Amino acid sequence: MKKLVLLAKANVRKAKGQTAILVMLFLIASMMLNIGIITLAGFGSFFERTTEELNTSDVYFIVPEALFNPDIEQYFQNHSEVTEFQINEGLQVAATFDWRDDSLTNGMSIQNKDEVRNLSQWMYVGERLSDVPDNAIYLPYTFDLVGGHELGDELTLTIDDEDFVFTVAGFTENIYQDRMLLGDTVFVPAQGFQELSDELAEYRTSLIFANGLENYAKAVTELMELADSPSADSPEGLMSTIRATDLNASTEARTGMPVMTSTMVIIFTVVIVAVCLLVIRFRIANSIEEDVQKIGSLQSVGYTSRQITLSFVAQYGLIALLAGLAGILPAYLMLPSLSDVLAQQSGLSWRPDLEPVINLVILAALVFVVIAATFLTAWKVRKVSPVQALRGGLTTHSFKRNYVPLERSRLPLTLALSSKSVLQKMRQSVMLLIILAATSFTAVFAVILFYNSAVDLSAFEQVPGIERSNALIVFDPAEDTDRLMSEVAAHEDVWMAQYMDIEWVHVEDIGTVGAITMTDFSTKVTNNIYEGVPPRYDNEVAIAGAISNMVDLGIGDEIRIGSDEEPFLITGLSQGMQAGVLSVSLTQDGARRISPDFTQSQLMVYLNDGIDAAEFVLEMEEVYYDEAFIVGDMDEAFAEGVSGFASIFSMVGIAIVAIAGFVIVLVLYFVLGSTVIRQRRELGIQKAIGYTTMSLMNQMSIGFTLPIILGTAAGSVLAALNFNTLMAAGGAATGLMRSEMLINPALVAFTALGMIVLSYLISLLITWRIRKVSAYALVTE
Amino acid sequence: MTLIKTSKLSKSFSSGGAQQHILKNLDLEIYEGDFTVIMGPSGAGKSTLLYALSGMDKPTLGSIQFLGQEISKLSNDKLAVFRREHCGFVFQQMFLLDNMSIIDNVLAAGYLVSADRKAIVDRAKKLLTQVGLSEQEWRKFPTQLSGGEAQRAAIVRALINHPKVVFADEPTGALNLASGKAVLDILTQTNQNGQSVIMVTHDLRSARRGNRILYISDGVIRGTCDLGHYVSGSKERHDKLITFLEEMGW
Repeated sequence: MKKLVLLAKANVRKAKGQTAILVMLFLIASMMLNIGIITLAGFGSFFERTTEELNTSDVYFIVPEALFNPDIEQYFQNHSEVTEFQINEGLQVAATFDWRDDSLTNGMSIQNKDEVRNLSQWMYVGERLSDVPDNAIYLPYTFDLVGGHELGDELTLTIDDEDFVFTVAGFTENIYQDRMLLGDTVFVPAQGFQELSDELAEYRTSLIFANGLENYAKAVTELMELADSPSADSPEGLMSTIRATDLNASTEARTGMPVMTSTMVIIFTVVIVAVCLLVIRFRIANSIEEDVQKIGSLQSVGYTSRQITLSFVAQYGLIALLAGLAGILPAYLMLPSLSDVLAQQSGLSWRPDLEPVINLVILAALVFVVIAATFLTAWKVRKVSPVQALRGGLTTHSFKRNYVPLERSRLPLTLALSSKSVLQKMRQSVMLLIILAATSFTAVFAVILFYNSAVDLSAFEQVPGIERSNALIVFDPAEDTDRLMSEVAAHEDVWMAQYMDIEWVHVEDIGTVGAITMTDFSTKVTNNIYEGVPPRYDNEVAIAGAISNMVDLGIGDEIRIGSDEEPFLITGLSQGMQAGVLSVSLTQDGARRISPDFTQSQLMVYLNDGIDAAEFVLEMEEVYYDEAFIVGDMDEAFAEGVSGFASIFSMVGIAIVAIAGFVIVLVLYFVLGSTVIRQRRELGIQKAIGYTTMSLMNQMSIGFTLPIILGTAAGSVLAALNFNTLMAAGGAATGLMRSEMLINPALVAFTALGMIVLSYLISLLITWRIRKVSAYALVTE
Repeated sequence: MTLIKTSKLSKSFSSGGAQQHILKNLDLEIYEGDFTVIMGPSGAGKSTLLYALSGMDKPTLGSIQFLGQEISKLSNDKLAVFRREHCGFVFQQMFLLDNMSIIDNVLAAGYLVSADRKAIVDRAKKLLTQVGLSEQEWRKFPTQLSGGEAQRAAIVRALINHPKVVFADEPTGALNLASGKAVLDILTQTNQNGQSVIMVTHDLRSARRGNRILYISDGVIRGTCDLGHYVSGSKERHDKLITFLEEMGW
């Protein structure tokens, strides 16, 4: 063992620069792998743990007080599936408040902070005011991270044109906090809540948290049958119906992005590790070739091939071990930044814990693959016989074919010699080609990601699958909604207006899902049908790809929907999160087969170019003060919703491009540097017979450029062609089944060209050391 | 006619902090058409002198004039151009490019100087044939040839560009007797064809091929001996050489 360590140490000492590069590559790989896997496992387990710690219920109902009666409570008490339930008080309002440098109108559930809860508890995040003011309010964590609200700040909520001023006393976290699904959940102390409740009595709701209920859509239908009719003066719309969500929907909405981000990081790291292994393979093959005489002399004094092989294993295993260990610390230093970025989208304050088991498993895996790859490569030492080795290594210098014979070649001499070199060192050229293909693949992938999330977001906005209207008006269903739609559509600033509602329906073998309901899907602006066609008749349905996978039903099959299990023909597969990852699309008539009383009320309004949605919304609020429950600025909501995703993707994109560039520099430095060293004899001979440094630099650089160009082109084209497929695979957790991100050919070409130029410049820089190769040293060494 | 002239040529190396003076103030002239042999004990500075004269290495001090042109101050790249145009090299270890066939080794040097590729190919083939290498051997890689064959190929590479002078550093040092003799015969023939040859050797048989012997010891030229043109089996030349070398302390 001691002998092996001595040999390994000697090898490391001999190639300090190359060892340093390998250490850096493995350090990056270890760091990224730790970041990716800790995020993937840590965020998921954090979410699960938090869900458990907060005793989050399976289902969450919001029942307007006007509808609530003792029968509803009785329903939960008597329901055979319900194991536990709890009723709390709340206020469900549409509130306008400051958000960053603007104002935002959004649904908000104001809840009593001091009410005792067993189910669906909440918790504080970070510091909170110790002296709680009378007008204290506790906001979701995203208000701190993204919204620009700080502890002790004043917050004004405008509800029904009335301002309510609060002091931000702390930030909170609860699993059902989801701006998209139910609006922001805020807490105020009991006294403040009571005052608000008195003032906003028409917005009082009962919050029902229940465990064990399997079909909550059915429960909503049954509850609506038990519910009182709202009084004539109570606001309708949201306050006229019972709404519900479940833990699955919340989990999908809040953990999808971290899963996708960490998956991307892990995939990228696997590429780096593969590059490292190729580099090691190259290095060992070189070592054997360079040191064949040394190997021969070791063999001649009694070292076995196994011992020599194990010395390589010890050398690279040690490098992987040390670099792998060293990569753990920067991973932990960078994780909080990633956590902050993820928190902006998820609203969850995940603080990564120390994960020694994950660290050890990653380290062990890294060392194992390195040892395996090293052993498989170094084992060819057994083919080196001492005599051959001592004679100069005939075994390793076995040129079989004289490529590009100069006698017949018409190429310029430098190009001919380069081509000869490329073809003779086919393995090295192929390795370089693969490395460049892999790194350019990731770089181009990241550039496309960045372009779509930071430069041109038009395709990115389609990813959530949410209809891209400019404004949204929720009318009172009791009004003449057809007339209202015609009026809005006739507005001079509007080019189209159409109803699109979300109904909650029960789907066989799945449970309750959202149903996107329209009269005519052909006029939908955001196409979320990725295969087949949207439904046209009342017996047709498009189902989410995720549902299709779960129930193993596809286009042409029949699926049963609704409490009465009405059959529907599947005409298409959909994606996106308009109504949750698991959703279906139904025509208005189709929705009426399930709920005969269904009436469309959510109007999507599409404005002419250049029209300010915020101004339009103000106008609509005035015009339809009596008929509309909600008038929303979708441009603003989109900018807000997409920005969280976009900032994560653009950050990941930039990080991957930077690391890919760095990896290319390191790998080229390693491969080209060691090639110059390995070829110093040939270079010396060529110098002796009259080749200049520049001609040799060109000869060597051009020789490297061919595999660099081919590899970069192959990697770039593959990335461009497969980007959307990979995005869809990685985004399955967020309901993305088909991605149609913009692939800008000029951008891909520019990136590839940039990498080629970078590679060529690096190769020139590295081959510049040829000037130090002296013809005289050749004969005197 | 003077081919190379040195003036106060010195070459020093620093090794382990200590300065070693290998060549000391050499004033020397090499004549065109001569077969000059440099002899001397190990470590005397023979090879250092050869490579300084050939522009392969730069002197520490002093000047070297090649056909009246100062070459000691040329840049490395200019020296490379100088070497390709005026010098041919034959090394003890041949130093052929292992990844090229024999003919490509020759053409890789030839194409550097001449744009007329056909003429270079024809000349390469002619020279290779002259040194006794068959067409089949031209296509082989250096490692597939014997030492003698490889050295003959190296001589062809040295001659391909019609150099003014061929520098040979122990050209027979790694060869058996028969191969060594064949190589010396080629060099002799080359010289007899009007080419200048400067050869470093410590081998008496090789030295006999020269017409002028320079004896170097401790970085200084101790003496010169004019043997006259080579005549095979000439006892007179042999004795003169032995006497000279004995005088030099050989």
